[in-house]
Amino acid sequence: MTISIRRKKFNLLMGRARGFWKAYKQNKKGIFGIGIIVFFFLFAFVGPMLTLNDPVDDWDVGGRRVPPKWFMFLPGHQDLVPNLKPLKTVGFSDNNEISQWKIELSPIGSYSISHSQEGSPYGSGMGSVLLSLNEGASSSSWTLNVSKTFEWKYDAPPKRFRSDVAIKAEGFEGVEAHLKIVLSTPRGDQYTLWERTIKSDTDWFQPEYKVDSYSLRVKMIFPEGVFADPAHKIFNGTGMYKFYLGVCLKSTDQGSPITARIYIDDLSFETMGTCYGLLGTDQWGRDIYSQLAHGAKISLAVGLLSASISVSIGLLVGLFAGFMGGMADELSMRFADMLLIIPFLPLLMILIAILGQSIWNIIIVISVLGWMGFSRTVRSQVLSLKERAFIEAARASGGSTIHIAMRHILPNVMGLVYVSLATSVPAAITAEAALSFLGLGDPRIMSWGQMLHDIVYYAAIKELYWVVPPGLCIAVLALSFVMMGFSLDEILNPRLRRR
Amino acid sequence: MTDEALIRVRNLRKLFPVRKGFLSSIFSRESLHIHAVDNVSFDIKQDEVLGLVGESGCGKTTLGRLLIRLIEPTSGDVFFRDINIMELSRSEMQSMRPKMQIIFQDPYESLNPRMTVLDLVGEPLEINALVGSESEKEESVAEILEHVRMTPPGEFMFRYPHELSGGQRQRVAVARALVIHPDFVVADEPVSMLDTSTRGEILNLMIELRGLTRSYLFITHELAVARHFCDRIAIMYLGRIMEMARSDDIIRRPIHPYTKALIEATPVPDPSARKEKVSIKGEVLSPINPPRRCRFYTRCLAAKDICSKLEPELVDIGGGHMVACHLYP
Ligand SMILES: Nc1ncnc2c1ncn2[C@@H]1O[C@H](COP(=O)(O)OP(=O)(O)O)[C@@H](O)[C@H]1O
Ligand SMILES: [Mg+2]
Repeated sequence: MTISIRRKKFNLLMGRARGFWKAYKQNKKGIFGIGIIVFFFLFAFVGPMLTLNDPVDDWDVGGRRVPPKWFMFLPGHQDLVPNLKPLKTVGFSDNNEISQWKIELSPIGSYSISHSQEGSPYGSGMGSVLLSLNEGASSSSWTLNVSKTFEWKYDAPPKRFRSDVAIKAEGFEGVEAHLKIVLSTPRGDQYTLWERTIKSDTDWFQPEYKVDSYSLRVKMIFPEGVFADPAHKIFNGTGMYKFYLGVCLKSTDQGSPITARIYIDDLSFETMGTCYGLLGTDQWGRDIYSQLAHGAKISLAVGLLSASISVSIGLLVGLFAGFMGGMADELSMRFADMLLIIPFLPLLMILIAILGQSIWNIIIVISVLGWMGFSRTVRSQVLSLKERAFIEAARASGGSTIHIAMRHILPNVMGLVYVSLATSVPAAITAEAALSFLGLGDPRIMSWGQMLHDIVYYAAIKELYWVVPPGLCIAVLALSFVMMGFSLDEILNPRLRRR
Repeated sequence: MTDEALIRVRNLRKLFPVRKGFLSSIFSRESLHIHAVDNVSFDIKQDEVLGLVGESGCGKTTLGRLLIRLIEPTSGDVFFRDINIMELSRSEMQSMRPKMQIIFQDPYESLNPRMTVLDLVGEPLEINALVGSESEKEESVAEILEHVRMTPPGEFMFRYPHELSGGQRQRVAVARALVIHPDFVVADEPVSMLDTSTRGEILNLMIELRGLTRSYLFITHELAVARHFCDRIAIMYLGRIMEMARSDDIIRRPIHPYTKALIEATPVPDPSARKEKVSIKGEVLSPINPPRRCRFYTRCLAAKDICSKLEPELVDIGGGHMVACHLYP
């Protein structure tokens, strides 16, 4: 008997779930809402995995403030140039990496090239390339070029280029070296981006300024000075370009044996294009797609957490006030009124300013300020439930207050709870967006509101590829939760059900 | 039936304060009360069914709820055996509850719409820890469902109230009250909300189930139903008991003018046999602060001078027939 009864109980539960789903399926709004919410959940989980870029910390993954790559296919955008990285890897961690470079020596045979285990402290990865002068060299001057030739096939110049190097010199006695970083064009122009002479041993060092087309020292190579755009000046046609590190050694003292050794590491060159990725970049050259994907996670987390906390608080307060009545009711409802009449956003801003701008503070503050309306709804529902005969019947059977609250009142307000959960989520999402938009968000976290804040702060309102994604996501996600809430309301609280 | 009383009610009163508007509460200090139950005393014997008859609004439900202390009286006592339940603490009262049960008037309201029949009927068992396990509960519920003719029980156990007819709901309410074998049951107009055909079924069911409990207070506004079911009948009017006697006595030899009027008003199957005599006038008085005189005075055709000055006491005029009327000392 018990087995079959257990079966029946299970069937009953399944039947209820199925009945609910059947009713829900009929509801177009509800299906639309659920569909979009599922999509955003997938996006929040899978989206961040599809990119290696950190939304906050990875600057200059491409040109700054550039549109997405696919803009190339739009009319008027044919001249967009993508990122170009002539070198697969940077850092000389093994012989393979050395072989990416062309190393030219003269006179031939006077040097040896080898891989050293010692890497620079600046870059990541082990190892560097070691160029050492063979003993007993007869000449008095030597040159060597570490170069990389690459093809520029675009009519337009890149947004920016930059390069880097780390060098260490040993055994410099009676010898001096002239070092330079040079970019040469198909027309034979040579642009020396950096140069330096060393006369004695040095520990690892890097160029004293960033070898970067945005750098003032690089701009000063050109007659226009500060106003020059080196990328534009240098990349003015298609063809083979060459980037190289040149080393010129000269002996200054004929007497002593020459033993100069030069370690080179982190040698790199790249150009950043005028378009990047799926959604372009922001003012620091950060990946907007990665910001959007990580923002989805943040928005959903903030929305769901704040909504659950505030709905729980509202439920508890409402149950307490409605059930206890009298003084308890009066006090808690007046307190709720007090919070309700203070304008929400200013109060939110003040609290965040006091507590500090962290995502947890934002979640807590939004929840603590969001329960009042729901507690009133619950209270009124409890008040009307309390007068129902079945409550008196439970009391007549000996049911305690706790029993009545848990078994009779709570199940009858659960319908309200689900609905309120669904409708509180968009409120929390937009509250977080508003806070971040106003500059009170967590600076360590990139949320959609934070993106909008950056857009306005950096006056990018016309850059639609940047404005539309976060704005649209906030609106659509909020709307889908509202729609789900409405359809839940129609199903669970059938007074509103359409005839 | 023994003569020993199971329930003794003494000078029970229940006044409901009337809410006044804000302004009138400032200008008038006089407090208004509905005298729903006004100084009522009677006994219910072991194994007896006492009928409580009166028109709507006269305080029957209030009295019924007072008897099992679902509401607190303004004054007065109710003794269950020798225990004055009005003096019990909250927890003591809770442990008394399974001994006294109530069947409510409206089966559409008295069952939680979100509970299955199994949970509804099993709830009193669970609350009072009368079953040790889920399967014990199922067995007890199945047993009582058989008693109330909801067979097979497995068919009904997992239904919600909205999946039951009115009669079936009231059977569930009856099962709920009887499943813990109480000594005393208040049945508050258990059939008044049902249609005529189901009504008979439920009444017959209650007669069959008399054995499951000891005493009943059977509340109804229909004298005919009360006569059918009850050993004794108490006639209530505006919060007071006017007459109380064995069912046959009260029907055959009514003494109080109000009882007589009630009997005349009872529908008779043959319309031509209807008496044309009118023995009542006016309308029911408001129960708010009634003056100190016979409550029936304004409607009584036989009223004397004294009736307007003194409230008559309920006195035994012989053979357990009690009446509160100045005309029959
Ligand atoms: N909770 C209450 N608050 C105020 N007045 C009440 C309450 N319950 C009943 N009354 C009043 O007491 C009187 C008797 O009601 P009731 O006992 O329900 O009558 P009956 O059951 O005989 O129809 C009515 O006038 C009713 O309005
Ligand atoms: Mg009633």
